[in-house]
Amino acid sequence: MNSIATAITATFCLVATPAALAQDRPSSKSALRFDHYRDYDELVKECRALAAAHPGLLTYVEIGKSVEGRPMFALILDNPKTGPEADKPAMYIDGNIHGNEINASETVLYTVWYLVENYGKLEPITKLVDRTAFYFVPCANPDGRQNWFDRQNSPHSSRTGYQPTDDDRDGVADEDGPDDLDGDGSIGAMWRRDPNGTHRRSELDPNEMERVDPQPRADGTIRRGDWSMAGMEGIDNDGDGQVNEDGPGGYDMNRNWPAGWNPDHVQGGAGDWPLSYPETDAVGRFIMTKPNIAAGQAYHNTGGMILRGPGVAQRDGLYEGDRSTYEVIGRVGEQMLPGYRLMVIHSDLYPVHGGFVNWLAESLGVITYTNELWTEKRISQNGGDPSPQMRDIWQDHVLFGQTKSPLKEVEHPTLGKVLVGGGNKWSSRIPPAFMLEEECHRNTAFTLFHANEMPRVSMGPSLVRKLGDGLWEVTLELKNDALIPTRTVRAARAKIGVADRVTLTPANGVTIAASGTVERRYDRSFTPERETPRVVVLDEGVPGRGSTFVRFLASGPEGAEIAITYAAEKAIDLKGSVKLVAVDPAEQAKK
Amino acid sequence: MLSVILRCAIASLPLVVVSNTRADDPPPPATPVPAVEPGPMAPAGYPAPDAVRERMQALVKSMQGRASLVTIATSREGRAVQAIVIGDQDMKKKMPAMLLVAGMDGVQLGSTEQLLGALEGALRDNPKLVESMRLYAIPEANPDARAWAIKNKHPRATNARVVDDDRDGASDEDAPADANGDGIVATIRRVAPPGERATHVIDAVDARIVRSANKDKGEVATHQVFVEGGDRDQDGFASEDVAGGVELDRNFPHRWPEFASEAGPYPLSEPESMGIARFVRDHADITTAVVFGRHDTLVHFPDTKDKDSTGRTPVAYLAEDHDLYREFGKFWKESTKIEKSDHTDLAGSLVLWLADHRGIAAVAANGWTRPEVPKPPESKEDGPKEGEPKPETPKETGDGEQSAWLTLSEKVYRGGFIEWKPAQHPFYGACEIGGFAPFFRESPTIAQARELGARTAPFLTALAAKRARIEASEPKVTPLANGLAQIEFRIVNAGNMPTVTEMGRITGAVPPVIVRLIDPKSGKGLVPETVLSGRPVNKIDRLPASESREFTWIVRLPAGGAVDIATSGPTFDTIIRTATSTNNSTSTGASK
Repeated sequence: MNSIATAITATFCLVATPAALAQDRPSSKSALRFDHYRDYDELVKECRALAAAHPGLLTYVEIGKSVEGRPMFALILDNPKTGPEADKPAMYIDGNIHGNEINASETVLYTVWYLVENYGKLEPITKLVDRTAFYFVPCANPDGRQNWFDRQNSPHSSRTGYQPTDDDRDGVADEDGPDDLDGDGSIGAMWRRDPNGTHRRSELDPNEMERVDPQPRADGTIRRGDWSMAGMEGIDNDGDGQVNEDGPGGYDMNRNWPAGWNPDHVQGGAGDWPLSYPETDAVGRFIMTKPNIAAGQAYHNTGGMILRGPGVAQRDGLYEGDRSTYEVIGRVGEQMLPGYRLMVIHSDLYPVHGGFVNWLAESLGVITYTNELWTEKRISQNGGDPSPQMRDIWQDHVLFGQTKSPLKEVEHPTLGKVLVGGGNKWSSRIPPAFMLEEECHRNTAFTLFHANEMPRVSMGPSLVRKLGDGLWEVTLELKNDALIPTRTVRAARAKIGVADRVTLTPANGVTIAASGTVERRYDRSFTPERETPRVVVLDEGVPGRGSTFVRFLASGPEGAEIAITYAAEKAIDLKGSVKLVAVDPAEQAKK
Repeated sequence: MLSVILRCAIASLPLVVVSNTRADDPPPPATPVPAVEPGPMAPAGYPAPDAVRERMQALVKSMQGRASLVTIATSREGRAVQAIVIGDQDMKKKMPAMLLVAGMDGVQLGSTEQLLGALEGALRDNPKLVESMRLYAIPEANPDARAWAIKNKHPRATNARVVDDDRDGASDEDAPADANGDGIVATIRRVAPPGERATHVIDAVDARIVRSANKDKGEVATHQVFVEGGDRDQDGFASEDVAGGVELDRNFPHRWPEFASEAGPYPLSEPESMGIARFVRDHADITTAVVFGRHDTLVHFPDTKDKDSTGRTPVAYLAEDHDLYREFGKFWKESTKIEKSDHTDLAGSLVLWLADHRGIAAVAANGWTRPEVPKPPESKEDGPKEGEPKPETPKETGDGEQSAWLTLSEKVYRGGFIEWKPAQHPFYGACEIGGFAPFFRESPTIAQARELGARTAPFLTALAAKRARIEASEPKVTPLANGLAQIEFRIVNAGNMPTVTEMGRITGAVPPVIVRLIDPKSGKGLVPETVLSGRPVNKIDRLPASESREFTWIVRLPAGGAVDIATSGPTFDTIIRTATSTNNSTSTGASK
């Protein structure tokens, strides 16, 4: 952890801590820049180029097609020279399932780039890459992303996929979306003159509306504004008397996963059933073929959060036993990500049925977080919530007005004259280009810390006792130096996947009489394995930062050898052996 | 939003009857049902998937162009799951549809027969049925399970997904099997070896019965019971990894039993269940559905008003819909005379998904429970003659249900029970193999299933007579000043069922009835500026039977001008009424 923390501070000389070191930008094999946002087509191009530049390390695989026919792809990072991909614990990372949350893909791309770029250069990265695999889906919603760039949008629109959906149930799909009335390329708010208005034009900036203080004056008179909001920019395209009620798509693919999934009347935008969209289906199928996934991360925006499940209170019990693992990794994340807080989705944010991280955590037993990227706290020097004045300075003098359009009067077919403008689609949810790289890096650092805590199992020294009459008691230690157990408590309790197994292969003349596990090395009793003493099934795996002790009784001549293999879905398989020669690790440690 | 007037009372506007065929005509008399001999036990005589398909094809042929087969899925073993679509094939005329599903597993073999028999009977009894209702029938939803069960003469609930039930990295390697070479996979019982937990006792009155120990009576368990099989993977457990993986009727999204064995890795993970789900989603005209199989909601109405953990979806049926479902139950009991059913867990079932997620009035029909035991011939009033010993009343066993089955096996069936025979089993050692024959208790014989099908036909006819019927009034036009006119209009549900269940209204999965104002010249909706009051497009999410909705608009309608009012919905052809403005007084329009 210390070395990682140093690496983070070392990369940025901006951070004025005593530990900060100046460092040149490392020379690049691929000239990727993180000072702008890419549309989907460019993202695909860059990812293909990155894979092409790192053969034997990074592979581009197509995993499906989006509704509008765009390729869905994954990048697999694995060094086959250090063992088969399926044998290594793997981290799955994706982003941008909400099409408007574009900085999520940039963050995933940065992580890929940082790993391949620094493999062989930075020791912690090289070690990590050599012992793990990574699966990246930089963009889980290609249509949402591309359309966010191509069409007129607000910061919040194009969250959906683009399967035509009849939101207003009139038999026609997607026929009344928002319209860009002022031609600024974005969808803003519409304001109408109103003698009982809730807002007035700001004195500080007439291009902004400010809410009129609802509190009566001292003399009891009430303040009234002269403007009220009249919805988002748009007209009644389908003539049904409503505005913008059936835009493109209109669902939420992050409510479409098979963990506590519920239909639309419970969870808006959930889709017809779990994995009902080609995009979620493609990602879901890809993940289900990778039982070695031991850590998960999904990127969203916005608000500066490290979120974990459950999405609803009723599923809280599913995290029992794994909470401390979530807590430790998440708290380190808070240190790495200024302004970010570790939160629980249902209690700290809002209820979510059928969320992606919930599926990974609850149904697949994988320690998974969602980061809500970017927080406006980063605007102000002291990291607090920016005041309206600070926001003005930020928009006008730091961003030079790039994220807002002046209020402009336009003629609306049914509302008459309206003012349109305000924050454009680039405002509020994503960092400005000059802060993007730092966001990407800090979040990458957090996920790499998480990845490094995937099971690192080794065989510890065995305790071998001579019991006489050719009988030996052997206690084998399987030690996990990482925080994440080889089988999470969730996986063990719900019997997800295949349990870890230790197989004993004795030399000729040696028999294994009984085997099982003991809680501590020097415990006397153990529950013998029911099936066959040669195979010890470890349903609970090897705990995080802890050990599992396998005990067996063998009979055979002194010095005979027993070969041992350890097989696990989420840890590298091990081979070892033990000799029937009395040895006590505690005694050895003294020497 | 503005001035749509919603009143329930029917005003004095004239109503025009839209269709000539009254859907709620009383159903014709039921097909007479002959008493049947049960005949040989299932699966004898049950058609395998190929024969089922032939029968479906024959039914299609008999409909002379008004039916077809549609493949809705391909099973894991490559068999086609097919739906029979009955009704006008050009699909031009919109009408309500009924969905029938059976053969969800290889246990309730009779369900396929019951569905097909009932369907054939209903079509024969009531040939006009197809003119007012479309029928979709999926008689064999799980062909792989049925094919396996019929071939292996053993019930199988699951489809052919390969599942590592015992999680040892290998799949389906230790399935139940015939151990004593009699060709039947039956039951093994043995005295529990010393130190092993015993679970059962042999009944003191009838040694054929092996049952749970009755602790209240001080009984102590002595025996263990297993499915006949071995330990082919030599892991110390017998028959623990059976062929086949997922029960379709536990694989649907409502109350899906996550992590329960055989419920699938996620809802609709199976091609067969997904095929049904897609078919349902793509047919918005389905208003009612019957799932034949292990579940029953008709005899034992799931009489709970509880909601699931979200508090927004019922555990079974929404309280507001209970009356409708109880009426369906009444039809069932009247038609089939079935008064008995077994309790089953509806979690993840097709019927609940149809009712609670798709808003369809769906019921589950179980045609098979233990038949009544024939009563012994009545003893004469005067009792035993003098001098004769008084006949002993047989002592009761500790398990009335098993006793009844044994009696049925002796008196009605042949071969329902396999006498226990001592055996030396390689895994279980000294034991007995025997017990109830597979399918004896699980499934009717083919003859019984056919009889059940005939008895079920009137139920389908009665269900088909339940439907909403939307009628539209002639609009009343009152000219106002300056080329304005007020239009009043009303629709009524003249049928005997709501347009959608209350649960359907809540789910929003069923398209609403829509009333729109249309410019007759362009055929397009009136531009909003023309409509000064009232909505140009109105959606009625639910209209209960005998209730009406009224609409009042004020529109720009110069003298001689006309506005069309189009009423449309998923289960009826669009009704158009024209509102015409005349110079002078109030007028009503004419229908088109």
